Amino acid sequence: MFFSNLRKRIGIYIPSLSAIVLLLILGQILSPGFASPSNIGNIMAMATVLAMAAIAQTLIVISGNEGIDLSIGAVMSMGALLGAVFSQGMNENIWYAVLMLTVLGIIIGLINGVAIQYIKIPPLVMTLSMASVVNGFSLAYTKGLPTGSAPEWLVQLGIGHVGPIRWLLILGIVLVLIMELILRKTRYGRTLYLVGSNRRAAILSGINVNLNVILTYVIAGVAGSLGGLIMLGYVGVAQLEMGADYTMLSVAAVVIGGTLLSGGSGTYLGSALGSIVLILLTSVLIAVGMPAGIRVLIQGLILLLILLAYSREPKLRQ
Amino acid sequence: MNRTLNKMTNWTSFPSLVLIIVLAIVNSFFVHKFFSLNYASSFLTSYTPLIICAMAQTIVLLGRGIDLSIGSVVSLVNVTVVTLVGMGWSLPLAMLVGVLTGMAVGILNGFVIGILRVTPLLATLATSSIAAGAALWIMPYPGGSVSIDYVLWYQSLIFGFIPAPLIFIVVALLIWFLWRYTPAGLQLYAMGKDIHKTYVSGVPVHRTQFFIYMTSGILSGIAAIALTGNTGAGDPLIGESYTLHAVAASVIGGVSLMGGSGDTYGSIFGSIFLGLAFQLVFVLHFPSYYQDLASGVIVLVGIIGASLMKLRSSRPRIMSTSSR
Repeated sequence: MFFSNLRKRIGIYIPSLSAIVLLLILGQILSPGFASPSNIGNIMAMATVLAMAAIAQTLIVISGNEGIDLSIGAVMSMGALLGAVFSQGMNENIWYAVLMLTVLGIIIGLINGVAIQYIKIPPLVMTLSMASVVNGFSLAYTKGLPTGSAPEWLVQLGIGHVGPIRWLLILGIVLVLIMELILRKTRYGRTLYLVGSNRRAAILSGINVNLNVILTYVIAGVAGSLGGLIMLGYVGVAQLEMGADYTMLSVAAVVIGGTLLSGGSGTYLGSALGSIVLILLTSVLIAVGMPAGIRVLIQGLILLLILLAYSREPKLRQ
Repeated sequence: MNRTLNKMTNWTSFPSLVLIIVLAIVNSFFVHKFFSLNYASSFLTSYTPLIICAMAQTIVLLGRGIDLSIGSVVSLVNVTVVTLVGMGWSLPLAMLVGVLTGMAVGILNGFVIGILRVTPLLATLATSSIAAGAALWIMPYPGGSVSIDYVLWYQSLIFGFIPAPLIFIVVALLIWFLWRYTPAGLQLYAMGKDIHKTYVSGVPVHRTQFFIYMTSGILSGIAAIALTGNTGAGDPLIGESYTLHAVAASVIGGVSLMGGSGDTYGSIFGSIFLGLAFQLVFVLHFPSYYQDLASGVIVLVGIIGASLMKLRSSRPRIMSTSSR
């Protein structure tokens, strides 16, 4: 009983775990030094940035109703750009930047959530148009000329390490623990699974579905804008639309992690492992000198193949 | 007379038509000689690609799908045509290959969605990345050019009174008629209403879905050819905004995101509405860095407004069958 349960629990992680091992071996063969501790540390740091985006994507996908967040890339870019502006590169301003970005994330999430729940705009369309508004807002706020840079503490968090371990890896592990705790143990998390798997049953059992879903989009907005701040720490300088790739990548990470788009199931650990797989894949492609276009193409191809393997819909005949 | 009026006001595209008229009047205060053939012609030069992309999206939406790859296909076809011309190909041949490229992505979409049953949203997100990557691979930086003759022709008036871009719209409309006035159109609407019942009635839904996405790919290719006439150059990111704007134009034009209701004229009106709104922002001389925000807000408000109207008109039904 215990073992069958364990196998079932670990089962969904096996594809991503084996992909991680295979990609590490492949990378090491193609480019010696790929599997060195420093490079692995770098990959884990980048994966943590993607995992921040995956927080938003995982929660929204679990909430069901074909939930997807196509604004996450724009929100992360905004977090990085405005984080640099708000902090002006000074440590003492970090808290101000965090506060402002949290407020902006909440506003974005509220607008998304309310429009989706009360005006019945499909999540895909709502978040796609929100992406264009947020990108426009970042451009307008910075007047097209991003100013400021990452405060030193943020850079420390982004590229520094404590002993042999990168700060970002520690942050990543903490994120996984917190998110799994929220999803499994809190009232919000357990409600989210029910809302995702059967909205009607959730409504009938007296759950405030609107509140739950709107809260999900608010958390997603905050995770995105603060994720942008982390990205700023890792990269060091802010650029317009620097987080654009994270939209597609976070969706792919969630799908690799075994979360179904139909909602109601999935784990954050899976998405975090999926993030590692995707960053590893990108790093291997960079190591062998693939141009940017091919990398994007292969990322799309991989997503398509994973969808074919995991996410096919049942036959109409049934 | 009364009956025609009734039919007119109940037409799904009617609200967008009213919006266009209002916006046209507002625009006419700011634009010198707004109601002139020259202005209409220059307007069409800029917004024909959007109109055709919206027509592509509408066909997909009617069958209760979505095509997120439209923008990337536009970019891919644009750089393909410009690159081939740069290699010395003749323009018509390059255009043909361009449209075939768009069709190829459409066929990939149709195969993955119709035959392999992957949900349209994720499938086209993946193919969008494939097409965008291919475009970046073919042409990493903006550049190249097509012959100036084509650009001049595209911006000219044929016989002195027909704007050349209109020809592209007519071709797209002919493709729409192929759907609308054959059994395929009925199947398309039926699928959007209820795919299970349509399947049970013996409609080959998988085949229809395949052709829906193929049509969308072809139309996106045609849109890219028109766009190339407008810009005259290649740019691997030029199509990015078209995915969202095509959805927005369709929704503003009364096409339901839940499938089965609306028509292509609505998407044309919706595109013209968006075009007029963007033009208004332009003539009001906002600083350039506010324009993206302004057009983003216009699109968002348009989508919210159209959805609110849909919600009000269908509230009783939603209350009784609330499942979402």
